[in-house]
Amino acid sequence: MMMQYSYLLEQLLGGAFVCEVSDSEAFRQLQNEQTREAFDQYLRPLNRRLASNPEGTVWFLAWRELTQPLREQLSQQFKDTLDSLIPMLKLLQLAQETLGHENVLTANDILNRHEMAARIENNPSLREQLHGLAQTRFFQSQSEDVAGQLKQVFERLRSHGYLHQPHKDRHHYLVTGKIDYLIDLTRFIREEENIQIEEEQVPNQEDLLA
Amino acid sequence: MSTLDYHSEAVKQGIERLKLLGKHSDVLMQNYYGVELDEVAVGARAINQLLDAHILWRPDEESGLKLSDPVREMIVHLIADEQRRKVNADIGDFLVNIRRLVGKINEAEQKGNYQGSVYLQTQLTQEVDDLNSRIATGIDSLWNRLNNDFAFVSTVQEKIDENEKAHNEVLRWLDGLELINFAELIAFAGSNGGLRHILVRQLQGQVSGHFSSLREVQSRLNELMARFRQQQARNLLVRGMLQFFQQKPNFQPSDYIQRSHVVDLLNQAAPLQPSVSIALDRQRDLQDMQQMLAQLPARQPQDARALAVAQPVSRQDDEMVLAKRRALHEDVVSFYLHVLDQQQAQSALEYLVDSQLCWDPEMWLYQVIAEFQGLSSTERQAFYLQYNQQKASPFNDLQIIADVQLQVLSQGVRA
Repeated sequence: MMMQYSYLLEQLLGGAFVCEVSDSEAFRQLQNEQTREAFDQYLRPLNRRLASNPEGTVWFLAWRELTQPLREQLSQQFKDTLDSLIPMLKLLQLAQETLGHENVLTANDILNRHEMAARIENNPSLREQLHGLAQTRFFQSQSEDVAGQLKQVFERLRSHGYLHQPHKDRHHYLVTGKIDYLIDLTRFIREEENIQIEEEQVPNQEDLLA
Repeated sequence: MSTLDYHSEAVKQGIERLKLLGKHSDVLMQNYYGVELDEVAVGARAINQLLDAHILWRPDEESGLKLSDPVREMIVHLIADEQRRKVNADIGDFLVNIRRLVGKINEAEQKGNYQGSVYLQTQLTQEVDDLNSRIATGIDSLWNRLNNDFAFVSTVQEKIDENEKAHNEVLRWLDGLELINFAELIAFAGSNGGLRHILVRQLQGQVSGHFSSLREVQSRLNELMARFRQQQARNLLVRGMLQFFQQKPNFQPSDYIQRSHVVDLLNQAAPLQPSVSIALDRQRDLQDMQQMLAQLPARQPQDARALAVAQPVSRQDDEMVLAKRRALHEDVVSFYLHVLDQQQAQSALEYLVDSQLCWDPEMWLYQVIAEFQGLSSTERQAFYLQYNQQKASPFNDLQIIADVQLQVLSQGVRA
């Protein structure tokens, strides 16, 4: 029965994150608990199993049993993710400001690279933010201009599975569920380290008048 | 530029009727809030215009004029009627009116005043219709706000507030609908078929429709609220964590990986690239494999030629090397025979020059030495090979052979 899932299996084994945006059909298949059990059964000899973020919006493979060498691999991976965390959070902020969105990017949001480049071009503060981002180790752009920097940033996001490009020759991208994973990881660190975040202060009328 | 035809009948009529609304806005708004329209004061001509325009309608000959449903709805939207949100009082009022009318109808029928009863029943129908349209309008307004995700306010916090308001509104409507006691209405209607139709079949059907509609709105509001709250939490998280990282650039989290339980978020298996090859030994795949082979793009003819040429060349090479080696061997053998004939010492290099052989001198010497060492021990006793050699340098004991002298020995003694 696993034959029909061979493509999905290969994706997962290759380290892909499967969400509704990246592959809606595969995501739908993974909603079925029996299918998931069959996957786990199949993956058992490979010491792997299906795992998801707490909301179940994105699926990937996890180790079934952890050994010391595997823990070391995970430590290294976590370190890499941590290195990308600050640039990614900054990118979320940059995208939000550029698009004038009220909310942080979420899965299914559509980004148009050219439109974003045009907006950043016209705003010195956004230009500076992008420049700073492009030079981080995670994005590493050699380019001096906004279009080139943004192109590299998008390419990195695409290769890391944060963006899905439905048409190769067009410039619009869909935000995938992997962004949920990143947010969940951020939340996990916050909770584990007991980091206090100040609530947003909504100024009320009286304060404004005072 | 606009392509609208200002002279078309429809456009003319629309403009006229919008003007009509403006002209009588005062009385219309008063009627909206339940003040009966004074037909005499407004004037018969204006009343007829308003009726023609479907702004007002007269439910029946006897009763007063009322705003038509579309106009009422439009006003609700235009003023985002807070008043309409106070629904309980409304439903309560309606119910009082309904009870009063039912009482009157029953009274009239007992007195045999059927004409009066029919008139009152029309009023009752109107009252029930009004109640129904009021609830429907309220629910529509909720759907409108829901369907555009409360886009009329900008911040998430405002959306959350609006959602809460809408939620309370739903609760009030639900409470209001609970006030409608169908057991009571059934008792009211008794055996009166007309009343049964209005109060039970009509009203009950409508109210149960409203109930399910409101439940749907409620669950959608809850969903939306959860989404708003999630968005708010995400915004806060991203902003707050960036702030934190800025304040603590050297922040190092604890080692979550070495814990006995590692959360799934951190447990991401290493990627694995599954690769396959064709199994040539599987008989049943033979046909597929042949097909695949047939489908392979033809090899570039250039390559084919290059390959065909290359192989004989390399064979030729081998043959040439072998032939050369054989020739060298034969020349060296001739050198040995020459020494045997001469019966005196002969320098290998001198022989090489004298015989006008074109071997590389070093290769020649090697071959002479190799040939000597290749002789059987009895044959070797017949020759003596002397190395002309010297140290590479005063400090290096490496002996360099400059030439070799070959001579024949007779009974182990140099000639």
